[in-house]
Amino acid sequence: MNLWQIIKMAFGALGSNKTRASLTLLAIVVGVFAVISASTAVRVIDNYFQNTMTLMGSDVINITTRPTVMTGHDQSHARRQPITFRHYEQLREMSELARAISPEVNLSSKRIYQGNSNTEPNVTVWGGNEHSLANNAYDIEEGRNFTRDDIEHARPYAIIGADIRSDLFSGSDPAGKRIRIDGQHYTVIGVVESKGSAFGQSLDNFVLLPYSRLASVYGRDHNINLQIRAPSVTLINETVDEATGLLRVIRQVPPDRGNDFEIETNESLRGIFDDFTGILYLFGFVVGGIALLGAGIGVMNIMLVSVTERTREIGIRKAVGANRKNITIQFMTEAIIVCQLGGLIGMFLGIAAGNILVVIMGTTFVLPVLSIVAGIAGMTLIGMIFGVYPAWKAARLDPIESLRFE
Amino acid sequence: MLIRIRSIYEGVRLSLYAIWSNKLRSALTTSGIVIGIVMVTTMVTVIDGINRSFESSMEMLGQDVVFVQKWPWGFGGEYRWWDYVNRREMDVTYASEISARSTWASAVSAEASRRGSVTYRDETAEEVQIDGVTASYIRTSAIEISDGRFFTEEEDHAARNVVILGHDVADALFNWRDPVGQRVRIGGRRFEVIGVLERQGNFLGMQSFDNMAIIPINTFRYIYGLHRGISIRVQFDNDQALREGQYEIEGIMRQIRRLDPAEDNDFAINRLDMFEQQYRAMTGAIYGVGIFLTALSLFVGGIGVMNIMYVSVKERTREIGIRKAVGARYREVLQQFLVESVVICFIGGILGIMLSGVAVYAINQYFVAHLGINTILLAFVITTITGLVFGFLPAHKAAKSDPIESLRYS
Repeated sequence: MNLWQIIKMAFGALGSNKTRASLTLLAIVVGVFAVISASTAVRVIDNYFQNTMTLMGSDVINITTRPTVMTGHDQSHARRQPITFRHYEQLREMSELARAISPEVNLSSKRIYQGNSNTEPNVTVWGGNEHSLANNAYDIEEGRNFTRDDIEHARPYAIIGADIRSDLFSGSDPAGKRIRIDGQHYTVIGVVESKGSAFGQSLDNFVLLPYSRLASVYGRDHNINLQIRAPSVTLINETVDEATGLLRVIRQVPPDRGNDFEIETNESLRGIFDDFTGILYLFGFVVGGIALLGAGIGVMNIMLVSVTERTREIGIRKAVGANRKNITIQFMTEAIIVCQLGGLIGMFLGIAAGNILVVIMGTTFVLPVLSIVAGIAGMTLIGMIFGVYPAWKAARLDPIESLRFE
Repeated sequence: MLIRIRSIYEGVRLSLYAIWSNKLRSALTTSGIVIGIVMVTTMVTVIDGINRSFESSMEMLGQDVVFVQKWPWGFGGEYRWWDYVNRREMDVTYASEISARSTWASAVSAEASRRGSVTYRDETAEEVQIDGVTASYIRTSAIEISDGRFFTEEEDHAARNVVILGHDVADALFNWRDPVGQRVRIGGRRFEVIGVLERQGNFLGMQSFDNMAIIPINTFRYIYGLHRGISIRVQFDNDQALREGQYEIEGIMRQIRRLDPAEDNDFAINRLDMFEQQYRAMTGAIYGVGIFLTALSLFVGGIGVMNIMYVSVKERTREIGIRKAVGARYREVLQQFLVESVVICFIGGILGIMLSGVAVYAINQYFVAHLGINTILLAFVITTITGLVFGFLPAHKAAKSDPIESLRYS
């Protein structure tokens, strides 16, 4: 008997008892739905974190005294010596690997004035150089970036975020206009393309000034961050090692002490949420998996009933020459088909339900390929596990006894 | 009435017999229900545990109390800090003024807080929350003294160096010795320990409320200064008084601040139920998803019951036919099968709750969970409903079957 015939027989058996088959199917659908919708939803949340944590280019290293994302009450970094412009200049001289080093000075948030209008006093004013935009994954939309000359001569130029443009220059072209911060005038030379927001905070509500200009207005003793671009993504670890070594020398960290600064990459920042999404994943899999277990038990139960009811049929098949293997395969196939059918429907519904979050969180559609493959394989396995006992029971029946069965 | 009870009793007996005669099948069906009930009950116990932890934390902050402060509490959304930053700071004297003028408030206190270390001989407790409070704090807050006493108004006015230690601090510094009467150092000064607080616990193991030390606010002013961050705590007798009284407090504060009728408040009245609302909004959706996912397990179990009840109805077609032929009505046959499915679910429910008890014990080793009598009752109600819902269609099919057809069935 070929496989096609076996499958046809299985479908025939399922079709002969439609209520029973559809209820069994429904149980499997719900079980698979639970697993797949939960894992899809977690993937969507994971995606959201990953997207929002991609604050820098993937080949960029951030060096700071305060970790970007802090967990717990550890305050030890509060007493660290600041990173200064001198450290930046020394590192720029000494580093062999680093490309495009930029300093980042953050002032407290300020009010920006233009003509008679002004913003709320919550605009981030920061200083940097010609590499700052690229290192922070910002693109110029209009106008131009700083040049090396602008930085060296500490020119009073400003590059503004998309929010500032909409707040102060509704409609008109900002390039060449003058803005005021703390009574100082700056000429707008560029506008940055919008990056949206992360965790409810706008990423476009800022003004970027040449760090040299900022230092001459606000002084040189700020605690700054450094951003370093590695020659390529593959050399990022080497660049991290070099920067760590050089900074320890520059900052005179004794050999027996740990680093008194944090080195962050996109990878390390993304990793922060791994624990959280890991727990969600686990929860989804456990809860969904247990629902699936319940469904599997249902399949087994109904297969056992089916074997009992079809005792005579089994007897006849055996009497005309079917061996144990044939009978086992017949019933296993039936179980696997129910599981696969239910699995496919459940998967489809689960992916749809999980992606409802996409609409809410505004991220991209997720197709959990791994879960789909695992689902198909898993459903076959469940069909086999919960089908094997009934099939074995059917195959073991004595043909004479079964033919006598009423 | 008696007949009905008898017939249900008879039904239970019959169905137990039917369940027993098909052991493997019944065991599998029941295990489906057990899984569902364990999942739902455990989820509910965890939610219960978190909620109880939250509520006891809220009680620690005080009940029927409002906080008059410079900054409003912000929850999500844009916090327009620049609208509040130029407000005048609170003053300690507001506490006595409010106390004198208010008819609703039962007690008013002022407090300021910072972090510091507390040292006893060679032992130091770091990052302790040091609260400077007025003497009426003992009546406005939920703290209780387990040993010793609170300071008096005179001690506050004289800025005496006396301290009441939180449970954790006392534990860390004194181990098993009696702290009362001993001297500790705070902010470079010597303090006499006059009391120890009752243990208050923590929120989900994260935020401890016992890592604190309380000193008179005038002493606090003497050591650290009192320039900002002062908060006035107003205690009311009950919820009703709070709802009425908060407007009175607002009026008194406007008088104290001499605000024109057209001016906005330059202070904030913060209520704890703001926290509670935010907490409910934040956790509601998460709980909903959790319950939904676990309810799917129960649904799967219910489908198993329904499926097996259909089988059972089919197998007993002749029996049903005979019962109907000798006069059983729709209702009686329906009842027979409903009782059977409810009994299966009920047995599943009992086993499920027992297993949940084990699960709750295990979860409590790492997290919080609480299995209350309400949850147990709820679980039984849910199992009964599950039995009725998933048993109905098969029972209905049996009950409305034609006796002639059924008797012909072989």
